[in-house]
Amino acid sequence: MAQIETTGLSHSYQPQPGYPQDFVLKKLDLNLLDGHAYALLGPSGCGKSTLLRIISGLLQPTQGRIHFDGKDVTHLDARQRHVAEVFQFPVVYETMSVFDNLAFPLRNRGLDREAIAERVADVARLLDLTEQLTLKSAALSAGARQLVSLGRGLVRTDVNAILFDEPLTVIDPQEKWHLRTRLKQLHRQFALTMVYVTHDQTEALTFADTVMVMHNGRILQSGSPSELFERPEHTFVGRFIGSPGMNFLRCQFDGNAAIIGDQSIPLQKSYSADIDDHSCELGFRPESCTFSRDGSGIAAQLINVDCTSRRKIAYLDAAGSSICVSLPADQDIPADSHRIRIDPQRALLYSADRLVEESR
Amino acid sequence: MSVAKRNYPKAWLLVLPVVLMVAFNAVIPLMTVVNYSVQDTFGNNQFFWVGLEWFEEVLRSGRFGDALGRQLLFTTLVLLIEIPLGLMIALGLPKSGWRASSYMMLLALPLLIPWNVVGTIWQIFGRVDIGLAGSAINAVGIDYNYTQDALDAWITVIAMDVWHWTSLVALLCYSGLKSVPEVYYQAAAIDGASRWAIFRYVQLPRLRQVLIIAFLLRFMDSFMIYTEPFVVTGGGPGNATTFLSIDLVKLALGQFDLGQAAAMSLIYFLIVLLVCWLFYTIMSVGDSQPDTRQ
Amino acid sequence: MSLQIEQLCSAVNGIVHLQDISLRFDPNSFNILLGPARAGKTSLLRQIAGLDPPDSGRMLLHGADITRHGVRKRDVSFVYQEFVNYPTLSVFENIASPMRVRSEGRQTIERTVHELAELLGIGGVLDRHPPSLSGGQQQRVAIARALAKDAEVILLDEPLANLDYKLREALRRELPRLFAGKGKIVVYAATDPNEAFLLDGNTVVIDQGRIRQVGPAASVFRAPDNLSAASILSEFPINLLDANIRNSSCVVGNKLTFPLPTHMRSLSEGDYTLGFRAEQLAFEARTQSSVACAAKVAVTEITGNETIVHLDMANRPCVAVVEGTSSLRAGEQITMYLDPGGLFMFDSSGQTVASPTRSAQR
Repeated sequence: MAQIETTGLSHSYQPQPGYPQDFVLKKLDLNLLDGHAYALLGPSGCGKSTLLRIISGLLQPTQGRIHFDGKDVTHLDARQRHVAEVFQFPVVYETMSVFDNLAFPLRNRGLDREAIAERVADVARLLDLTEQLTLKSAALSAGARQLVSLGRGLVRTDVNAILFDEPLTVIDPQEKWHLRTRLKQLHRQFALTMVYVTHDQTEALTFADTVMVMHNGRILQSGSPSELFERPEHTFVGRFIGSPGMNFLRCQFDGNAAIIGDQSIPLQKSYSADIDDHSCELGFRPESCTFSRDGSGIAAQLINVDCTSRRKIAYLDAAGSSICVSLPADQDIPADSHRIRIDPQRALLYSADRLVEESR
Repeated sequence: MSVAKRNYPKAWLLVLPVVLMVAFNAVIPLMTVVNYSVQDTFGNNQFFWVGLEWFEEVLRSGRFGDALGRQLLFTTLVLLIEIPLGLMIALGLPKSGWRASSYMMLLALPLLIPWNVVGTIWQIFGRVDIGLAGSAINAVGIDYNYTQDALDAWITVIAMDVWHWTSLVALLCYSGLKSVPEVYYQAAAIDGASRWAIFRYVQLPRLRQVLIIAFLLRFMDSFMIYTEPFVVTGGGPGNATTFLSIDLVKLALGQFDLGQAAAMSLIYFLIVLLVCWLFYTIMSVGDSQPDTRQ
Repeated sequence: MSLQIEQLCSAVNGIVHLQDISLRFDPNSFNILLGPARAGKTSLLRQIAGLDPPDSGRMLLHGADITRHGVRKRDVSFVYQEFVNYPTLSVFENIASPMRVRSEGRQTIERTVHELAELLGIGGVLDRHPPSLSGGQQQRVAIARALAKDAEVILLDEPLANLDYKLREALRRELPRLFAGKGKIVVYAATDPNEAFLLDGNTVVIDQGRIRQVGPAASVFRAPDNLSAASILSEFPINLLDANIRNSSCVVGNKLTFPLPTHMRSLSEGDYTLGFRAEQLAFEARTQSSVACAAKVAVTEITGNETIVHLDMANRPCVAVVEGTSSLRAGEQITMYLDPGGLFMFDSSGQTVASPTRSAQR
């Protein structure tokens, strides 16, 4: 497995890109460490699949370079880069048995018969495919096909990275669950370098050590799942991660408290930067606010309530914005006059969509 | 989810007009032929029953056997050349862009020419006196004359058929290749597959259906070929290029041997039917497996 | 006045798709067909639409037998998982198409299309063609077309499955409001139990072609009639352990024994299947009667504010969901706590024999 680095990587699908909006990737500098699992998370059209295709060598970037373990591979094609990829629609060679599918990359590289049989048996055991080895791959379920296509990457010993392009899209929800955990276990077991592209935050957060949130060809934040959840560096990240996403309320800042309407929320932190009042927002998770019972807090108007098996989600209008409050299913929502109390410890200050760092 | 196969009684009513049409212009003429094949006449519209005598005579005569042999050889050669050649052309065509469409136009040209015109073109093309090909070949010192030499006649007729029909195979295969999702090529590239492995395991499986159709179409057409070789060689020199249908016409219209001709056409018809059925069964065996793809 | 299905059966090539389905859908109702893939949801929707005739059984709309009516004669609209629109028609014409079929007046069409487009937030793209729209917009067009048909029965087959996460969330919140108060019978097929909760309708749990339970999602979740309904309503796979009841105790494997909680006292001795949901396992004892169970960590997944812990308990794979992020190593031996008051018990045929009382559930 290898460390993957990109420098100034830009890509445009237009032959003569001029304007910044022609680019689907904008000057990306990434450093993907050997043996780590990464997820590229973002809405459709954010450039995540393009980035993956550039890493795998299926696409040549317009600008910038890409290095594997320090070696420049920018102009090498997919065959020479030694990467494995699992695609959105499971690719199996339908006329071949599962065994032959797994053996295919090794036969292409001219390994001898015994070495192939041994390697395939190992990988089949790992993926629980031993019993299916003799089956025609056309007879497999979508989940099993996806395992076979992953297996074709795992049998090779020369693989630099395993890339996943929304691999669970066409998998049934029940199978999805098992496949996801299987991937996670494989990663833990073999310290594989993995890059996983998805628009589904649950998949990204559960799979990766580091999640990179992409938007409009840029990476807005890269961090561990809990960092992204607790301290989104950009309002887009806050809204995108979490279900429902983070609440943002316009506020004014007087040096140590956020002022929303007639309420002052002491933030108990000090900020060094000058903060522009016009673009100031207070961000807080639906999980870090509650209904206050003592008449304090921000006045809000209840719009409706959704219940899931584990939580109640209240949608409200407060200070001109719509916000959500998420409560454990056994807590009741007060019948009249709703006021919201925000946990100041977990509230964050944003200016011009960016997180304002506290000074230590 | 598969579409349910069920019985809708009303659906049969919709098929009825077609059944009547087919009955009128296929079954009734066929019955006339059957009628001729079991009777004989001495004129005066007087017919008498001869049973299977015509069939025995056709099968016992060396003439039918020879024509059948020539026919099988011709069809085999034509299939052996056209199918791989068409496939290779399809594989070599660009996948998209203006070049793809212009190649497509060029390929389609021979298919648009009427059969007797094709025959005439090649008849003139191959002539040693005024034909471009014929005189050129002779000019380089090769003795070529399709009106006198049996081998030359065969080469000409086969070259003509290949020129006329390879495009059909190529176009069919090309459309089949277009249905291979791009992601399969990407996966194969990542798996380090060679050009041959990509063809064998990615492209060929997806071409299977199309190849069956190409095979059947070319088999039937070449097995029943009449116009083009008749225009070029008239079945000669001697009987060298007298294929089944040419022989049948000679028998029926040249000698006015209606009973024998009817028996022969029935045997001919049964052979075509049998071979088509055999091809189809053998080549679609693999498709009867349950398909779990969504 | 309602849509009634009576003892409907359907099999294709010997494979049973639907078995003895009896249901009643009322006007102005939002019904959710909840079940895993290949449970028979789509088969049932196709039957209601009249696309496939049943092998046996009847279907009545407002008391009139429509079993033998083909799709054209039935007053239904169908929204598919794939965004099905006319690609060469503009969004306006797409929405207008069912009204053109009915030869409505030009003004009515104009008015209705604009109303529906506003309602669905696609008023700005009426001149564009579906292929140039995002998935969410395309599906809105399909839904608008279904509404324009003004059919009595509206069928939706996992309409949100192919949409991006955040779009799915937004559209899911809008859907029930779109149909509310219009007197329609809406039938919505879903695989995700959260969808059943959030759409907040009458949930029909279906599995292997049979109806397992009918009722509001929350009550099926609380008191499932059988193992199938219990697991289909679980967000995470339900944990199941083989258990044996003897001497007023419940014995699981050779390590775990605890006295029978109140709601299981009436059970006779014998073998059962013990069931509990992922959220019922905790790191610390919640009540005095909580049972400590030894478990080995297989893998942990962090979803942001929660951690999913995959465990090996009594030689069975189990799943726990805990709040916050916890860093457990794979292979670590830990103790999890289970509140016996919240346990389900199923008999060998998969029927629920003991459900926790409401107060015992968190």
